[in-house]
Amino acid sequence: MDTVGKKEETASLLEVRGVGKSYRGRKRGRIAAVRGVCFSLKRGRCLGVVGESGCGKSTLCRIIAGIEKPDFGEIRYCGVPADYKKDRQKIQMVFQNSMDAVNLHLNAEKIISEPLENFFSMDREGRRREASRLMELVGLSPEDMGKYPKQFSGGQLQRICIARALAAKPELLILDEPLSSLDVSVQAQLLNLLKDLQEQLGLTCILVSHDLEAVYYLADGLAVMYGGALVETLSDIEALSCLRHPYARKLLSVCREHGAEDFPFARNKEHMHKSGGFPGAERGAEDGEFPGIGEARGCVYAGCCPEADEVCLWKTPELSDREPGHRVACHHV
Amino acid sequence: MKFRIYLILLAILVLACLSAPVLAPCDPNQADPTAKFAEASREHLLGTDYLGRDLFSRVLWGGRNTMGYAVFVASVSALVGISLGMLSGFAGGPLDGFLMKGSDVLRSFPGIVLVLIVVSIRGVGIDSVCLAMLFTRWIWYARMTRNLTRAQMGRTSVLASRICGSGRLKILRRHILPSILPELLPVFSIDFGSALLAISGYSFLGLGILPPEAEWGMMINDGRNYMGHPEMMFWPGLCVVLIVIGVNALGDRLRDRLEERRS
Repeated sequence: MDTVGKKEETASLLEVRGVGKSYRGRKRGRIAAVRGVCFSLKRGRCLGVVGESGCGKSTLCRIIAGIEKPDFGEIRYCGVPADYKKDRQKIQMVFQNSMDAVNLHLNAEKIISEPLENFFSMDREGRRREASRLMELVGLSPEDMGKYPKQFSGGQLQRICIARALAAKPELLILDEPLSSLDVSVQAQLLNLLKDLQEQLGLTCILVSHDLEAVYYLADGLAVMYGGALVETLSDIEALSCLRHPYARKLLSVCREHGAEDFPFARNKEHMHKSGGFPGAERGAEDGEFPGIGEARGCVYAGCCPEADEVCLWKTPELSDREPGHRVACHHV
Repeated sequence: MKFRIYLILLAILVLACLSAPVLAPCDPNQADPTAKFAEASREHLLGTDYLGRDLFSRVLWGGRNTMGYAVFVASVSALVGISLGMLSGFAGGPLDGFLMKGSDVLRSFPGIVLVLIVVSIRGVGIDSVCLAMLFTRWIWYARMTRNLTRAQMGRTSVLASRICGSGRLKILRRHILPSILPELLPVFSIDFGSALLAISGYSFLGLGILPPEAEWGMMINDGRNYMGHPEMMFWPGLCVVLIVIGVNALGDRLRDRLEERRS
């Protein structure tokens, strides 16, 4: 079991054990979205999961949040298999596109009150008070509680979604690309908000993103995903420059190239997508699947890896310890 | 502009029929052999029919019957269809398959055959006709609701609601129903028009409302025997046409509005 966390002595809040999930493909067979992902997360920590679009990050989030069932593997919460009926309140999630994630017919107060109605016995007045407190907590004016989603901007609406997730008083907050539908200045504001909230409330977080910079800012640990599998995990995000998997290095170098001397990073997401920096990116987008993803054996990155040789094609590399708190799945590292 | 005219005509007709007990000058079933086929006059605004009954009163009272039964049939089938459609869409799996296959079987009956069967079992009468119509009319709603529900089920907002701990009933009531209801409203208004036509049609054939009760379709049928007096067919016919055009225009407008709002 890999441990992505600093304090080894505290027990894991969340353990993901060999989770896999596949979907029926459009043309042929089944497409594995997540394949045998293992990691654990300690209380109070924040794990950043990075990887390009379609690499299974969101599916992994949904499995952990309990809205999809894995084909195999197990999610353990507080040391026992997660029971999503019982633990529903403790595991909350913030979605990528806030406009999709809320019911447009309900006003902000109703949206934020929904978990309050379901999890706590509160009267109407109590819910209103709590909702206005949460609005303030996420940096919105409680006077706007009567407004409808279309009257808010994307950033404000994402704050409302965060408030809704926090209303349940969760222990684990899953953030599934919470920033990707927002423009850069709003992203920065929300990142600050998330950082503050995480410190204030001692939340355990999983931050999923394709933006290494956001992850660096917020997370303590890092997991790099490619083609549905974890290719590298790092328990201390400060050791970012030690990334060793060819894909992770590529990811890093793109950020580095454009961040110039002031590493870590300037924002160059546009470049990340256009540069061809990730060999799989274009093919992946075109076919809706990854090179090699349909094959049962071999390294997921073999098709695009400059260092790949025959071994990589037939033998799946194990995610194994290279240093304490640093695991890599590659034959050549 | 055209739409407004339709709407105003529709409103006037509906209101006039609703207030028939006040507006109608005579008893609609009161025959007067001395005043057969009377010309329009102050006493008989639209004249009288072959039994000397006041046409104006009969049109008003007939409208109450025709529209009342049409509203009843459309509402009950909407209620049943929407409930079953939501259940089917939400449950999915075998229940969904069973309900949809069942509705396919029922839908394969031609409406008129079903009416004839029910009438031959229960006897002629508007209740038999309504019953037979209800058998197949809910299917349209059920199909549509089922598909709309399934589309809503996959939405992130419904997933988010599940994560917020909302139960099935609450998700259906709070998230799915308000989203699909506006789409079903135009369907209802158009369905009402076709139910009205069907009821008039069956009464015209002599299967629905029984004489001497007034009903538009039956009044047209009565007029058929007296072609020399076209007003007997004209007025109820005009009312049917205006109502159907009005509700269809209303339905179309509702749908356009919705599409505008969505884009």
